[in-house]
Amino acid sequence: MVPELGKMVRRVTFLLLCLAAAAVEMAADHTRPSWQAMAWALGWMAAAAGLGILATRGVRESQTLSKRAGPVLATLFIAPFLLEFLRPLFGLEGYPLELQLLMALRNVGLGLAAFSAVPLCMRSACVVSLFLVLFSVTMSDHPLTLALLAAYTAAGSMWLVLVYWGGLRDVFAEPVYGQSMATRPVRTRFPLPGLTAALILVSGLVALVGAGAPRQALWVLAEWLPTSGGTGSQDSRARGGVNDGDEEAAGDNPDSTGNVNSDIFLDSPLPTLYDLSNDMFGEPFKPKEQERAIALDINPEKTRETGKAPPDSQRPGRGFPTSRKVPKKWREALSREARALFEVEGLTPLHLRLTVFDRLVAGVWMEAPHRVAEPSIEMRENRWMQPGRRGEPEIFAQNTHHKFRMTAPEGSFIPTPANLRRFRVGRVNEPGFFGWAQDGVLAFSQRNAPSGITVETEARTVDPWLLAQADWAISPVADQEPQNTGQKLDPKIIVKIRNWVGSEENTWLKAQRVIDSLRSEYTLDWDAGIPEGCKDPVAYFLLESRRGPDYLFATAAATLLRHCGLKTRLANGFYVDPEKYDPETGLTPVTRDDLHFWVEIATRDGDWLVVEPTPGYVVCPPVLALFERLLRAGSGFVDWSARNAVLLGATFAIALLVFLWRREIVDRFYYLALSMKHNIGIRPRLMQTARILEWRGRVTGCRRRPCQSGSAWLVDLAQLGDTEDMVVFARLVAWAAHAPDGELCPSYLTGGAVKELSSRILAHWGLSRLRRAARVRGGEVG
Amino acid sequence: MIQQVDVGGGLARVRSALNGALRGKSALVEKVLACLLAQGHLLLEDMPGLGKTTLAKALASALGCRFARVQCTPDLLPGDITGFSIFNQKTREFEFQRGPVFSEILLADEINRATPRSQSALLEAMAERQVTVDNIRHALPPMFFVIATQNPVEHHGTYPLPEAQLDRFAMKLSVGYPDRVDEMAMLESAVGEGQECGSTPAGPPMDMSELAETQRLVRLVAVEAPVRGYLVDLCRATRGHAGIALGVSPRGMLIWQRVAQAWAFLDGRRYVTPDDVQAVAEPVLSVRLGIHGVEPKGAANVINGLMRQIPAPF
Repeated sequence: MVPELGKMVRRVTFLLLCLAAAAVEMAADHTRPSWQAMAWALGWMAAAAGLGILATRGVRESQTLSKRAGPVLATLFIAPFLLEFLRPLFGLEGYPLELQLLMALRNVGLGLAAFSAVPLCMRSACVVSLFLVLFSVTMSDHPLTLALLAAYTAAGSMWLVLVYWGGLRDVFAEPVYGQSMATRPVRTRFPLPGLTAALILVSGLVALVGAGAPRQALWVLAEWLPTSGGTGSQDSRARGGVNDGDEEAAGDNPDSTGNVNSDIFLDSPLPTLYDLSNDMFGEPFKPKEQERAIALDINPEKTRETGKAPPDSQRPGRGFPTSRKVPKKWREALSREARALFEVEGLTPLHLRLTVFDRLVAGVWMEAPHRVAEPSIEMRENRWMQPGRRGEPEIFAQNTHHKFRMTAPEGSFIPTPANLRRFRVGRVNEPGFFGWAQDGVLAFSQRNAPSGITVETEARTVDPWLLAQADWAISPVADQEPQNTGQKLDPKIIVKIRNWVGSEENTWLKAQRVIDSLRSEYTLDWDAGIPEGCKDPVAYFLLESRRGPDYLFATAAATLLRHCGLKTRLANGFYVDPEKYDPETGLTPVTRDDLHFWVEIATRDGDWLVVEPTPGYVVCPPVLALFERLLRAGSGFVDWSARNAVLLGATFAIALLVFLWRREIVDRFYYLALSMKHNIGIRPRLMQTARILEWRGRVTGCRRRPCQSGSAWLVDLAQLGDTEDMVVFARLVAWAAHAPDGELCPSYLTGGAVKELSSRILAHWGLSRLRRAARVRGGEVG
Repeated sequence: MIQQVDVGGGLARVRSALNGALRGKSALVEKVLACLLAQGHLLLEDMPGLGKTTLAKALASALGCRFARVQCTPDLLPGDITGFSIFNQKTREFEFQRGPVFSEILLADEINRATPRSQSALLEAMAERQVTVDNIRHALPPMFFVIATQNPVEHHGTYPLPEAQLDRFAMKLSVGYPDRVDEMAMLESAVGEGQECGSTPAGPPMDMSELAETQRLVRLVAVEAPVRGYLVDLCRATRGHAGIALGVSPRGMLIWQRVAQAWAFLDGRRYVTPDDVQAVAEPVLSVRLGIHGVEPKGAANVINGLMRQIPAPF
């Protein structure tokens, strides 16, 4: 393109990107003032322009992308993601992942516009700007966005005109411009490899779907698509059938389509979705012995029968309209059998206590006391029940929320995670409905758990980082309680504990080492039991079989940890396995197969912490903010580095030396590899020697120009010294590279002479000599 | 497999004779020899008095072949070049009188002064080494070699050669001024001699049969696939180049390869390297590429840029 025209096109390209960037900022967050969005856009434009000017200083219009473009574009791409970490520090709300990607694309577009001296960058920048503007217009109907679209249209038209004129000027160029015209790209390769790969990928996916791949696998595949799951905004009164707002779904409106509080629908005399369900499938599903979860006032005066008319769905003689739509095809009724006892929504894995045992008497665990009164349960706002607080040991991270949808519960059990903070069961608003089956095991006081209810819980998550700093001395209360009764620990086990613990003094770290040893050195085997007549199952498991089911792991761990000075107990309950997570429903079903044993350790404040000694099972991780996780990872790395300073230093020194001498090492490797080849022909030896020389020239800055043949480059090198050998060698290389088979070697050299000449050349033209030559000649030779 | 040939024999004597006739122009002489061995035709473009005619006459003399010269003027007719039929009153028949084209070396001096009609009379002769007069085809000598000259400065009353004719030439060379030392030697040797510069040897250093055999050997010089690919890449690059109006034709590509073969042969090799292709690129391309612009070194700059753009094989 003609120089002054090209400059104008570049400016218009940058203008297009600026308009697109402004439109993106306007569309990204419509809640903030327009001036703020424009300020952000201007900031990014300035950053891109500054980086572009710095990176393109001294670079003329060219066909190839400058080496400086890569880092600049990468920096601009990463910047929005890095800023996302800093937003909370300034009290700003974060952007969802889609918008972060959009911002990154906007930055890349600005960067490309800054490098628009390269035609490819210029064209790519325009495509990016078009996408950004169209995206922004569809996302926002702000008047300023429309104004930006109008400006973009005008600028885009100008860009097209300029490019068209540039093409005309190429055709009708005056002679004076003839010599300064940029060359058109001469090699337009069809992107066959990329298209083939894309075709294979797409056809593979289609075949996968067509072949009936497991639905779960397909869902997992779909989850790879980057998404934040929404924009973060919430409208409590939203009604769309899907994701209804809280006030709709949890309210008293029977027209709501929300899938909660089914009793509202059953009570309502108005037509509801339940009636539609009746029309299609007959009577609504009502499990036997169904008990409805309704919080009844304890006052007997208010619990009398009201004598209301039954709901429409239960009246006799209901109408059956024949004008209804006929189903397109026969649908079989879905299985009514509940797939789980209950289903969990929230962070997994999770340990849910069912029964706890605190005393081990002659190999038999004895249950902990039933119906404990403490801690007391009090009701707070919104029917949240809060157990009395036992203290605030500083070992917890953020709270985690769970929902347990009870589909086929048994008994009075209420699933709750350990370290329960508060809970809410349906619309029950009376704390007297709940009690403690055992210490830390929540249950209904006088009744069984009804199906169809939802239990919401908020529990603390344990931060392993803080456990080592906590006080683990057994409380006076704990000392009074009996632990292992009538059983002394085998001396061999004590030795084993010493070996595992070593010189560690910290109580928690000692326990951690014991648990780690159990998890790593012992095998989970559901069929391995304890032989009859064995008096000490723990000793048998630890010293002889070294394998067993989870209760043996838990028993052994409880015993060993007690020896370490911790108060422990055995817990039985449900393990919510994350492997069973159903991405379709977003729930994790829990069945009888999930019954599991684990150990719990008492804190000084009387709370119980879950410890998992069984391999394959893990404790729920702490909920930490991303910034905190990064900070902790950094701190952990610093600590680890401090502990392994010598090793790290030595590794770093070796890595540094390897890095500094990487070329010498590789060169020596090449040289040795060639020296060890004794039986190769003259031509391969010459070519390999020349290739080594070329590699040396490339890494030392004495490189061969692309338009230069190997022999011409060698002849140029010969001007720096050792002329005679190098000229002969250059002639031999030309012969080896281009002479047909059967053509005699120039100068009639034998294989031995060629080998000797190659060795001389490689020895004479080492890396250091070529570096000096590059300094003298300044880069490319020739 | 080609036979070993004594390159240092007749060819060296021809080279010596040409260097003696044209002082300080050994590089030019090499290219002229390459053009001769490649069986191409030569276009010399330079100022008057630089030795273009001398070179042609010295070449004819060195090869011992028939030499003819046509001074092209606007009133030159095609028959003046090809020959014409005249009526013999004795035999009562038309007899064909051969023109200067029926010689081994034809010097078309200031060819751009001839009319296009006369210029086109050379088309068939240069491409097919034959002329057709009165529907009768007359074969030209197999060693037919055209050396045309033109003045790049004077454009008044000239007719630029059409692309079709330019493509028939293998090379365009410029003689150029000799340097000071050579001009001093030239003056010294001219003292006491005749008007002609240089002396003609007693016998031809190379006869026509020897030249034919050498040209046959040149055709057998090997061009391996990487070099062929490089040549093709270069030619295709000329067709998409923004500064070039007319790229290299397939005929031009074949001539380029033949000249590169001759260049390798002159270097004593029986295989072509990328350096040979590059060495003859400028004279071969400058005659047939339509380069934008009229700057003196414009064509050379474009061709050098082209060479830098296409990577050469090792």
